[in-house]
Amino acid sequence: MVVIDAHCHLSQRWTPVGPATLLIDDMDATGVEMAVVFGVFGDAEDNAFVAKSAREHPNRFIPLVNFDPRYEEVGLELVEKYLGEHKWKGVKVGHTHTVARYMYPMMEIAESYNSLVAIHSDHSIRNHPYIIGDIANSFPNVPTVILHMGGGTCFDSELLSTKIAEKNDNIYLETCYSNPYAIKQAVETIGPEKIIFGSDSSNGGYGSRFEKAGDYMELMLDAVRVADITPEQKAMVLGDSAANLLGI
Amino acid sequence: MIVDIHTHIGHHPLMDFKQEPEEILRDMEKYGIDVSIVMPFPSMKVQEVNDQISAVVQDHPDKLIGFGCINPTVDDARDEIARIVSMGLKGVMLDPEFHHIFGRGRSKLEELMVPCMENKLPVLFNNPNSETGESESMGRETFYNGLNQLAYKFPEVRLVVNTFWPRIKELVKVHRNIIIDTGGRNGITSGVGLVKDIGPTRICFGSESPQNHPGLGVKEIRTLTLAPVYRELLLGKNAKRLFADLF
Repeated sequence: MVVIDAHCHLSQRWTPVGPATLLIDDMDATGVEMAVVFGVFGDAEDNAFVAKSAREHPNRFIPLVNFDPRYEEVGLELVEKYLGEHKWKGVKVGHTHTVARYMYPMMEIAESYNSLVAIHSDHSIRNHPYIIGDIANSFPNVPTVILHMGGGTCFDSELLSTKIAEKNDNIYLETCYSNPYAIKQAVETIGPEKIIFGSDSSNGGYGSRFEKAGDYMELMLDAVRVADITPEQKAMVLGDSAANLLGI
Repeated sequence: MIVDIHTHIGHHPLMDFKQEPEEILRDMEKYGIDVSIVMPFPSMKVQEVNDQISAVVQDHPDKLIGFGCINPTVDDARDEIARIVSMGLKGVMLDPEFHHIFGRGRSKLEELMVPCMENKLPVLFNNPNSETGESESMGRETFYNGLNQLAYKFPEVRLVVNTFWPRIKELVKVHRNIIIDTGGRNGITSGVGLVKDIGPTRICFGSESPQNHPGLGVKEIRTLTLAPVYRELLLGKNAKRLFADLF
C-alpha cells in the first residue's frame, strides 16, 4: 500500500529553520513514500525553495504552487509560471480570503492547465467549507481540495465539509487535524476515493513540538488508521485517492 | 492512572454525531483509560438526557462519573441541579452556544452557581465552536467576559473550559478555580503549550469524545515534548487531585 501525504509545508522561514530533509525524516519514520509540498508564504522566495527541494528529491516531493491573493497579479504570475513552465500539479491557497477577487482568475489559470486547487479551510468567514464550496461550484472542472476538511478548531465545520462535498463532485477532503469520527462519516457519505490523507507536516513548525521525527505525522496517520472503516477504504484514503487525483 | 474528564453519551440535537456507552467503554479498555467523566450532549430535554447518564453510571460506577446538563435559561434549572445531585451525578455541564447562556440567560447562570457551590459540583463548559478559534467576532469577548465574571464571583466553584476559550491563558493566571480540559486532539497541542505559561497542575486530559478520539489524545500527550512527570499529571493525576471528591 502506497502512502501519500497530501499536505506538507516547506519553508526557509520556520523557527527553528531546518533543511527540507527534516520532512523526509518524518516520512521515513512513518512509511510515507511521497508528500505533496508547498510553501508557507505565497511569495517568490518560498515557492522557489519548494522548487529547489522538489528538484533535489523528485521521488519524494510533489510540489504545488502557493498562491496568496494578497499579492494580486504577482501571485497570478507565480501560478502561471509553476503550472505552465514547471508543469506542477496544482495550486495551494492558505489562510487568506477564499472570496478574494484574485481567486477567480487563479481558478481560471488552474482550469486552463487541468490543475487541482487545494484551499485551507476552517470555521472562519474567510475559509469556511461552504465558501470553498461556492468557488468550487463555479469551477466544476477544477478538482478542489478542502484542506483540513473544515476541521482543526471546530468540529461542526468537519461535518459541513462533507455536506458541501456531497453536492459538488469536484470537491475532495483532506484529513489533517480531522477526527476519526468525521473521517468515517465522510468516507461513508462521499466515498473513500474523495478523501485524501494529509498531515500538515513540515521541515519545522508543528513537528518540532514532538520528541521524535515522525511523531506528529504518525498521529495524523492514526486518525485514519483508527477510524471505523474497512482496510480497503483506509488504503484508498492513505494513498490511492491522492495518487488518482494527482495522476501518478 | 488515565482519566478522560470530558466525554459525551447520546446524540447531538443539531449536529450529526452520537455515541453509545458501549463505545466509550470499548475505547477505555483499548487505550488504557481508567475513568471517564460522561455527560449528555447539550439538549433542551435535559431531564431525559440526564436520566440516561444516571442509568449508565449506575451500571459502571467504577469506570464512569456522570455530569448532568443544565439549561440556565429556563425557570426550573435550579430544580434540575437538585435532581442531578439526588441522582448521584457529580457535576454540571453547560453549553454556552447551544443554550446561549452568556446572553439573555446570564443572570440566571450566576444564580445557578450557588447550588453548584453548595453541592461542590464542578461546572464544565462545552467547547464553543463557532465563536472561538480564528474568529474575531464579538463572541470572543462575550465568552471571555462571561467566564471572567463567573470565576471572580464564585471562586469556590471549579470551572472547566478547554484550551480554545478566548484569552484562556490570561484567565487561568487570574482565577485559581479555572481548570483546563485539553479539548480533544487539536486542543492537546495547545494545552501542552500552556504548561510553559501556567504550569502543569491545572490541565487535564479531556477528549470530548466522540468529536475527538480518546486514544489519539492519550498518544499525543505521550509523544509531545513534555517532562514525563508532567505527562502523568495531565493524563490523570491532576484530575484525581482536582476532582478527588468525585472518585
